[in-house]
Amino acid sequence: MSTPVLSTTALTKRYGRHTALAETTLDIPAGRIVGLVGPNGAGKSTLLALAAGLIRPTSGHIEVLGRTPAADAAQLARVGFVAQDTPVYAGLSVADHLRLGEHLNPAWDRRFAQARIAQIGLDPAKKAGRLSGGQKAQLALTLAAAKRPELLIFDEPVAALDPLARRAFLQNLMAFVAELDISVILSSHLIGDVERVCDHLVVLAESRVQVAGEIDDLTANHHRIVGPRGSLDALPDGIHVIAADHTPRQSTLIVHDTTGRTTLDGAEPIGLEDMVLTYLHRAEGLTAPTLQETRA
Amino acid sequence: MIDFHLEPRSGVAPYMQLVHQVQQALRLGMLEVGDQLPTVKQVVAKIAINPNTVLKAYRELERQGLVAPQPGRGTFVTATLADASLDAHAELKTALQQWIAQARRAGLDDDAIQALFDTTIRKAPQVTT
Amino acid sequence: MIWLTWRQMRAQTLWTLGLVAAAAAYLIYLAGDLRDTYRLTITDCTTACDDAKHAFADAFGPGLLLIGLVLIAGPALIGAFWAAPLITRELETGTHRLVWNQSVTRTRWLAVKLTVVGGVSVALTGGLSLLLSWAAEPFDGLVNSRFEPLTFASRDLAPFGYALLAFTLGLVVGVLARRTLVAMAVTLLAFAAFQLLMANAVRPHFAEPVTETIEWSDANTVGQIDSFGIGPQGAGIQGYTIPGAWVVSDHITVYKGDGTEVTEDDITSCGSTPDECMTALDASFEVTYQPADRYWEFQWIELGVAAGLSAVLAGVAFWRIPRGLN
Repeated sequence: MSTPVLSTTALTKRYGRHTALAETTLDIPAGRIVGLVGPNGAGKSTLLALAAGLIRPTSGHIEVLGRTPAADAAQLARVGFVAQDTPVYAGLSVADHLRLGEHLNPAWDRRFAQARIAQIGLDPAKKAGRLSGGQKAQLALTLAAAKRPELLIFDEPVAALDPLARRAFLQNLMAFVAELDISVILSSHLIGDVERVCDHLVVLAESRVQVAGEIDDLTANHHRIVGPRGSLDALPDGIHVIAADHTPRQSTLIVHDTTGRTTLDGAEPIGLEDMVLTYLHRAEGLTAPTLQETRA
Repeated sequence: MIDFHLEPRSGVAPYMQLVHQVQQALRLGMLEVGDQLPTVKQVVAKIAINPNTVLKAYRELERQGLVAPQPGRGTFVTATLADASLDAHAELKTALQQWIAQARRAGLDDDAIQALFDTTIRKAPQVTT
Repeated sequence: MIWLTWRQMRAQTLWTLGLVAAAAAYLIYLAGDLRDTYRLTITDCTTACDDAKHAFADAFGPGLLLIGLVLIAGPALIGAFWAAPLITRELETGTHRLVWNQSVTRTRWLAVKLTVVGGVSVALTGGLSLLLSWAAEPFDGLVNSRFEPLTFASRDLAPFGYALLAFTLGLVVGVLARRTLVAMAVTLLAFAAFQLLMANAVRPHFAEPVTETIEWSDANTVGQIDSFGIGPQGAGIQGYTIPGAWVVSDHITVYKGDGTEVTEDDITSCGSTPDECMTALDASFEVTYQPADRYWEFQWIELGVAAGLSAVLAGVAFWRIPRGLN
């Protein structure tokens, strides 16, 4: 078993009295594309900034690729990070950014970087401040990938992009992953994108991890059960009710089968989006309105 | 060569969608023995999905004995689903047309027919097992 | 890292270099003119030499003062326009998240910024200071008041320290304030406060001043009485200058030979000129001053204080930045 890309124990980050991330314990295996989903302010950016070593935890422990984030130049070289809104130096040209990458990263892959820039169709002489959002994101992605890291971290890489640029960015990212054999952690609030590109999921809400695991396992082990009212009160061991919705005549449950192999009568598969929304609603202390609408 | 696509709202796992698309192409004779499947890199760059998903789909197809990887060259079709099932298609289609006509006579509109079909097919695995 | 620092600061650096070069060119021209005039009107002076000295001082004083003011304002401007935005601009545009994730630690990043940009600031300011000190040499020798605040702060070593301090101050204020405009304003104010405080409250105490009793008859040989007043409060000297020294006492009371203060009655009853009366009364006064030969000691202390504060501020930056800003 190789070193997990991200491993946290009771990781907590507070800003004054505001808790951005609470008691987070996670283990993410290597070689995955991890989707970090959750509403705004759930703590996604905080977790990623901690993983990139931009900030330090208030308490708890975090290791990235087996070491403290940003501990030294060697550790920094192993992790590529693209922050939200993909910051670039507005006054520097695209070529300047590549020189910056080359000067600041010993493992810089110049041929790769130049080939990427040519493929995206960026003019090397153009100032980064005059690039479109999609082009800036592509430039930031190229910078982060050409340092040849073992792990790439993206904070909402596509949030500000139009659908076309978003798709182009993800195509490029997936091509990198296929070519460079790296792990990726990306946060997004677009569950469709996560379902498309990720194989591991972490749902974060209210500063806490709600559920985490391989997407295929999660979708296979979450079910919707609809039955007459009262028929679903007793469930086998290992079946956790995530949400329950009752009308006078019927009950609808969303359950997580933690055993992974219990056969349940009347169980239907539930899509990733519904599953995630169920967890988010639970975190907010609400029953899922989408369920009431569809099942009432 | 087959062109993959992904239907995000189908509720079917992405890798299964790829598997189904290959099976469908084999059934309809669009893929034949000896044809090459696109490489993982080509697929991910085209439809922006996780490379592991493509690998998983190809492994599943390999397990079903439909394709085989040739190291350094790619993944190739080794069997076809066309022969038996294609013959059955015409017969099933006629039966379905009759059933639809019957449903309309019973007063169901197209939406109701669709819903009935969907719920039945979704429940079907539980009925057969 | 050095390349990036240069690339980011290129425009400002070239702009500042232009200004410094202009000031240097002016100084070199002034130095030549000043020396020619000095030789002609002072060294070769035959008649009305005091008038010639005054004319010389009047002719070159304003030009030298102007460059001196530039040198005093320069560090503050460097602190506000170079150092304060050095980090706030990264924070405001979010580019710190880009640069801090290259394979360079934040400590090294900060060290390069401090050394390169700080070094250039100190070198430019210090170079101009040395050039001014050289250009003004005959003038300063003639006027002989090197402790005068505007002169002291714009000659020799002091500007090196100011540049270093203003730079680290701007940087640290930037790290703490995180807003460019706020950081610039705070840096300007804080540095101005530092300079005022140094000149008025701290520098006079660098060394225990010397107190000397001067007989009235020697008053204008040791130094020079700028003004002398007699009134109901008694007799006092306002402004006593000793060449090259820094007189700390501002109001000097004059005493008679018996140790009591000279009063208005003493002078009125005397009947002669005040000067003769004072001599007749065997008057003397005490003056407290920093002797001229302490000039270099003070310059070094001034530099040391600034460098020490800079080290503390740099310590704050090196402590704060690796801990993360997001």
